[in-house]
Amino acid sequence: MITYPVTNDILWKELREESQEIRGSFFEKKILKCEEKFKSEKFIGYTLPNKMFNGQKEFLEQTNKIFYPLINAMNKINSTMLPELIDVFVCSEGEIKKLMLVMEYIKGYTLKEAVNHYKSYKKQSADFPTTLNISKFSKFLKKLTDFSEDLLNEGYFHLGLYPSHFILPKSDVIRLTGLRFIMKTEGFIVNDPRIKSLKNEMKYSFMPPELYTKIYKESNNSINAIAVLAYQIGILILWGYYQEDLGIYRIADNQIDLSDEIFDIVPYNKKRKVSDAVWALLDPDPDIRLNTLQEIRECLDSIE
Amino acid sequence: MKLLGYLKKEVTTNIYRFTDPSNPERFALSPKVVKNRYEITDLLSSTSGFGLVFIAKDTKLLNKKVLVKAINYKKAFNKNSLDAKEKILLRRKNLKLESQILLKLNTLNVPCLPLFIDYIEGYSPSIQWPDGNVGVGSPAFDDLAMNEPYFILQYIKGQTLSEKAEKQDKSALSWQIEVLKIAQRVLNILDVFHGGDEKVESYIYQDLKPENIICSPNGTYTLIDFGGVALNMHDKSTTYNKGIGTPGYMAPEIADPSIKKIDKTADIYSLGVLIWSLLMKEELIKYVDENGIIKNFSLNTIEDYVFEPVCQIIKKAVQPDPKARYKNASQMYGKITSALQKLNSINYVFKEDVIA
Repeated sequence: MITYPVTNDILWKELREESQEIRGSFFEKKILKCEEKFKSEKFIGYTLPNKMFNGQKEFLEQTNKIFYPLINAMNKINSTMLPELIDVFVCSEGEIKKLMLVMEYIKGYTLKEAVNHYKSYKKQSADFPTTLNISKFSKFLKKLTDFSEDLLNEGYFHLGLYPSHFILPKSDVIRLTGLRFIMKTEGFIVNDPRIKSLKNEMKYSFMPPELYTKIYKESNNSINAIAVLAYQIGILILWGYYQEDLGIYRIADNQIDLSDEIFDIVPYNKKRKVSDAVWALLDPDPDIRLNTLQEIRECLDSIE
Repeated sequence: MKLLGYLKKEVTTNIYRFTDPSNPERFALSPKVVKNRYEITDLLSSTSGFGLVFIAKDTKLLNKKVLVKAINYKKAFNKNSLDAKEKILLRRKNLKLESQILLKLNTLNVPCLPLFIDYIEGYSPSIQWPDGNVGVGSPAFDDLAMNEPYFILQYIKGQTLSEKAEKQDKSALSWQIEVLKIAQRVLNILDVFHGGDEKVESYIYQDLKPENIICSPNGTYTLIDFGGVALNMHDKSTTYNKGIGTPGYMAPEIADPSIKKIDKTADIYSLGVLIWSLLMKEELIKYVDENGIIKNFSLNTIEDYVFEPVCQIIKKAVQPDPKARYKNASQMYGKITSALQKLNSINYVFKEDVIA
């Protein structure tokens, strides 16, 4: 166990072995405990990895650029679907003093892990249903729509609505991580300059073409958050059926090939409704794609 | 959550006094800042029997909103009485226990509860100035004033279920469906509560009522206030902390001092009353006797417009005899699922008719 220098009355300790089991593409994450205050409860500490900067000055600049907008956004959004902020403190790693943000550790499987477990059960038992229950899944997607509306009302949007960011605790509640993907919006347009920092971090298959162009080709097009939501919901529906990356169906400029073949996996009685919905949600042109929350909800109603 | 509308006044450089404008006798004192970190901004709730809940800013986390739970000493002790110190210490013990229960429930991963954030001990103006007149007269209990317990909770955005219910058409089918779904959420929570842990056989919530459920904009429901949680310890014939509840919602055995042990069906009863009250057009209090128990329970109040499967669920849950109620949360959950299927099919037919 590493004991961090005390900068407040909460003495956090790292559970090093458990820390090694958690991954994150951007933050360095640590599992923390404080037996004096929280007994056996675990928390998760977010810090920036050393490789991101040279020396203390640059670290502080990076911290200000990354942590403070994140804390501000989480305070303003105040959603029960996001993890709760608990504490922030300074710890030393070598010669560098680093800021550690302590957050609630959400217990449960990610949607991706849950599906992998499901797949392994499916292999063991012939009784397991072999295809997605689209009615249940569309209810889940409606909750995501509600969550996104809640965020948009506060001037934010979560650009990373994909399976590894959804955590399913014991109940039917969904929690979300991937906090770096929360961006500022104005009038439903994502206007956060940090959007370009998501290069190499966003999953290709969940990026609508206009977002791909914005991030990778540095275009000045405006990004309509609701059109991105529609696109990510469309991809989630396909992901729900395939339960894996849709790489083979990706064509130029990050578009998905929506020919009949991709819908072969959908049971016959649902095929027409699901394909109509997915076409409307995944149109490569954001102006033609569904781009109001009402349209998205009606679309999800149609497949329920 | 609606604020109480108390007026906040700075009485010294480190104390606020919150006063009810309609009744100056109702007041609460608070430190301006708890433990150099949490800046008090408003008084959210004040129950004379138990606690004060303040809204505060966590200055360490860029003014994140949190809740601070503190003891309400109003009328709890007289500074001249001999047992005043004992009463103060007992209240402190209870608040500490409440914080430990919430922490334990968080650890058990009980869904839809606020997160326990911190437990601290700091300055309490209420101990020094129990009459609220700061600076007038001699202060009491200086020796106890600096180690007052507070615990910090996650702030949940939303409205209470009672606020939400006020705006509903009680006879609408959609509201009946929603009430059943809320009941299922509560049962999910109770199921884990009632399962207990290695030390506690079962936790009984005891104080289920619409004011203790927060409905958030994203459709989640959070159970708040754990001051009334009772504990059934393994191999013990009495229930610890039994007897706390709200008139109308509490099961008869909670109010009966001759009964020493209650079980999980006490919460089933309260949930039955909660469903009934959410669907009833009249005030629940009209059906409550002087002991705080429902008298003359009758489905006549709702059966003209509430579907029969829902009425049957309420009837079974609010049986005065605990053995006649649903045995546990999962049994009631199953019945609600069947009722929901029936209601949804009726709803579907209605929708089809409207479209036709």
